[in-house]
Amino acid sequence: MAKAAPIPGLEPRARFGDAAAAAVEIRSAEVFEHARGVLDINDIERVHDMRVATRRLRAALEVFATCFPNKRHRGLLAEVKALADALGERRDPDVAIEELTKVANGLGAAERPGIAGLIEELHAEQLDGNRVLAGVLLGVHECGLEDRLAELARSARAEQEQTS
Amino acid sequence: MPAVPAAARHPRSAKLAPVASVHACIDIGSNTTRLLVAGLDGDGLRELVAERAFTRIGASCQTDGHIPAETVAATAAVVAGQLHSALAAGAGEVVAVATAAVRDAPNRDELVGAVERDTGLALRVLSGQEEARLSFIGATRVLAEEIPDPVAVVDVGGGSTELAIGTPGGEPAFAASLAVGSSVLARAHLHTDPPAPAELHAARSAASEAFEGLAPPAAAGALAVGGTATSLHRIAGRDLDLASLQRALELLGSAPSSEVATRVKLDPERVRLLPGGILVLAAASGCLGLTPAIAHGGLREGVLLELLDRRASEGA
Repeated sequence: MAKAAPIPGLEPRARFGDAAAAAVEIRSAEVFEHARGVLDINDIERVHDMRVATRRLRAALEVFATCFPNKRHRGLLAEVKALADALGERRDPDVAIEELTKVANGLGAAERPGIAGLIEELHAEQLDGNRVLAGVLLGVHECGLEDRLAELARSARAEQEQTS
Repeated sequence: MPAVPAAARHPRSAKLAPVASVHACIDIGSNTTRLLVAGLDGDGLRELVAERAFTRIGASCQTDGHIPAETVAATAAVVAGQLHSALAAGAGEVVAVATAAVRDAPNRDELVGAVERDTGLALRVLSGQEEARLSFIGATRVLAEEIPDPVAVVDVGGGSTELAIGTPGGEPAFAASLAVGSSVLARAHLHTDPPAPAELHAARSAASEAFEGLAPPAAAGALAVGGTATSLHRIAGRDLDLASLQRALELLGSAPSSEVATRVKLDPERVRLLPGGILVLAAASGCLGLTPAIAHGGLREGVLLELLDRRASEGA
């Protein structure tokens, strides 16, 4: 699992709005960086890393919720959740296939066909999950989620400037 | 060489039957970015959807081979659109590959990054040897009828030309990639429309030079695949002997590309690139001492068949 990137300026004396902006900017950048090649089922850690990054972004959005315009924040949080759900659809069969493959490798030839059938079913689920994820990723890109998250972060910083 | 049955050359016309799984390959070449969605089962591959967009990476490259930022963005957008089409057709796995123009670009990582980030696809930049091998597999495994053994497969692309020789359906025993293609010759030599005789002469010399020193093993027959070959079918017939290639060159040199394109019902961009591709094919024929026959299948089919083999071995 990829380690979370440190958030520059996040310290006890930081202003809440500035901290919110920095946290969302860094966590959002991590999500989109982990999108690289995430549909490749030969490297299942990519989905895992992106899913973890999405959870971290959701946590940042929830912790700092009061810093953001309510309606926009709610909408973006829902979009990030939909992305996380799509990653979960892919991740579940990924993990099951990995574990069952380990079990299959420890079995004798006579016992393998049963488990191979199960793995095949899970592979079909994995491909279904990939289709869902691919559609969500294309939607995320087309509707400019990354830019809108950056805009949300800027709004927290601007609000902080006005109230200070 | 025996004639190739029409159904084998055009799998779309094959009788429809259920397929075990549907997968797709997106191939970013020097001239075009192409999508193939195919049904895969134990017997092989059936084309379901094919798309093509002229992304012109080779033509847009700066003199040092850098791909401009706008071409990077436009290509990533085309790949995203083709991914949409693949998903709509029910593709489970979508494999993306890139060839010569990307392979040779000093800033290829920018294009790889843009595609991977915007679409989630992992983009595999093929080496020349891999490209030759996969084109060979794709060309020889989709044909239904008997193919000469050993067979040579010539894949004339925009930025490179691949040549592979081996037993049909197997791994090639010989594979080579040459830094010459339709876009390379067009950029370097063919500047007027239609190309002037002196330009064609210079391009012909460059094509011949690219094959100098190459000593492929003997083959019993040859297949030509790729955009140049399939487009040539319309104007030169199926067997690409030197006389038909020369006639095609004369036709292409008879009027500006837009006029010829209307006459032969081809994209004007393809017509502009064809003279270079024909000269490379002629040079390849000379090198092999064979007349290539146009064949369906090639790189994208090879990528998908390799995927099919890999999944089969994982399930074994």
